[in-house]
Amino acid sequence: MSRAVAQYLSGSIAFAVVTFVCFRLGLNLVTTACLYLIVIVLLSLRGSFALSVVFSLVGVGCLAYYFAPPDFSFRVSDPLDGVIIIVFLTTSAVVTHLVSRLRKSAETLREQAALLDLTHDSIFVRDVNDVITYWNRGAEELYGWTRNEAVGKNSHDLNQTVFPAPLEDITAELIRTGRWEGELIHTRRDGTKVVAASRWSLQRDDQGRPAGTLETNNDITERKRAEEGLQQAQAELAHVTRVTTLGELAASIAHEINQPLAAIVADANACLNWLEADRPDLDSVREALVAIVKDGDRAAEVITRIRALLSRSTVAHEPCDLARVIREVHSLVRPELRRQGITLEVSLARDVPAVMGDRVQLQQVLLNLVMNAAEAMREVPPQRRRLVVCSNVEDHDDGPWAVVAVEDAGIGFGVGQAARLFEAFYTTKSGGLGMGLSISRSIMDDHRGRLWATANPGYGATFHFALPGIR
Amino acid sequence: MAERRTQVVCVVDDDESLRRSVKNLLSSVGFRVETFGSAEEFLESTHRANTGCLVLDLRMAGMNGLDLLRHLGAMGSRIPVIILTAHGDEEARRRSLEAGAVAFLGKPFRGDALLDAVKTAMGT
Repeated sequence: MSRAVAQYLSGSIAFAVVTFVCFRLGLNLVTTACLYLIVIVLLSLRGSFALSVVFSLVGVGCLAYYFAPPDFSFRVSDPLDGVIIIVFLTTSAVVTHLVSRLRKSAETLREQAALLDLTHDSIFVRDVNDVITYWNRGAEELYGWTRNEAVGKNSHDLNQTVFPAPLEDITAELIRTGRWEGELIHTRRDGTKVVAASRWSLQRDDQGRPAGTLETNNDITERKRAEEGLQQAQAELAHVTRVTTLGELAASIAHEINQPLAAIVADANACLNWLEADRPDLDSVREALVAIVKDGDRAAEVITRIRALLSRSTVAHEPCDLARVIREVHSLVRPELRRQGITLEVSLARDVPAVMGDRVQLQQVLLNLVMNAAEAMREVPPQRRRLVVCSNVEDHDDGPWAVVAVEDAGIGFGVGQAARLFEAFYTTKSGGLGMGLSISRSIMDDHRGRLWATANPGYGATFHFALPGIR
Repeated sequence: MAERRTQVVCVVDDDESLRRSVKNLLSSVGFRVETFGSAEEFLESTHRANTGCLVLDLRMAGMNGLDLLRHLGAMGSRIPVIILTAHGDEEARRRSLEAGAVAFLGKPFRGDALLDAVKTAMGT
């Protein structure tokens, strides 16, 4: 209330001063009307709409009384003076209205800006040159830079942004679609890193040209850390399971290494005998040495395969040829399957696309499926012990997928079991951990692939896994 | 080196590399050696009659080494059998010796151990 009184008082004083000065100086009607307009604009900017209206009417009265003949009368004798006063009133009304709208817009903007400050999200706006034009309180809290410090700076320089893709590609997508979403790594004022889930929205001007970008960032550093911890734990669990599976294959692996070693020992002894003869049989020695090298390579290959499965607990996705994965697992399980009297057939389709994945983990999935299949056939008649591993191609909307199927003629699974097969700690094996299929499915999920099981029309089951091909 | 005997040493192993290397070792000291990829192949061969010693793998597809050993025992065969296996556990050793094997060697074996066993079996 006191503010309104002060405004009316200051308006009255301003009008009185202008009127007095203009009257004493003998300024004409038009000049005085212009000076009144200036006063009204200033009053509009500071005061209410009513204040402007009131002083517009006061202005009309003063112009008629003091500056339009006859003097000291509200009557206006010259029609031109009447027009000038009407123009003054109209202009004053328009200016008052425009200033009022401008103030309302500014007020709305202030309220919206205040709302943006209420959110915990970090929000800032940058122009086409990535210079920050707005920086909310969330951004201040997240990055440690105040609004005054941030505005006017290049956002990518200030935040030391690390992009998941080349900035040109991101910008191209933003301009094409008007939006971009991704994860960024920023550096706070104190030098610590923050992982942000970032959403960009492109602002365009009236002509449709890019004018700026609204960037909203959520701090997901802790979530990423937890996810990485979970992935690490899963990788370690997968590693333990690989070691366990290899433990089941230990006898067969020992056989695979002992065979070439025995051959090497026998050949080397034969060489010594031939060389000790009066007339050394060098041709036989040479042939045996070639065989020794070959057997040494054979043993080394087995060890290399085992070491790959045993040593690594980190995950590295790279282009993988599933045929190679199948061949490597085949080499590993062949002696064990033979020991169990299981015939293994491998059928590889020609046009199976390469996939993006961790070769060791994919080997683990296949190894697990093959070992499960062998287990399922342990009690069935020998003539039924047949295992088929085949690869194939499936066309999907997003391109070709590589599919691998492991088909056995074992005991299969019942309807009730189907839903539980991939649950952790669910097992039908005596002494089994029940983690193999669960881990295999996690691995497939991590590869954006699928793992599922179907009951065969006759005996046994078929386990399939599918992975998107590299396009 | 002169041939030691007219009798042959027969090697039955489903691993081609092992068959060849054992043949090399035995041949290098003068034994006549014949090799077979399976128990069935040996049983069908004409060399059974003049086999002086049988070097036999235990784990093979089809009829395994122990089955062949028992089969020969049941047939009244007097061929001395040396078991050569990469699965040399005590249980396998006991069962092999019970079934009539004269020696049991685990792979990898010492060259002189195999030669000694064959020489003993051949009576040389």
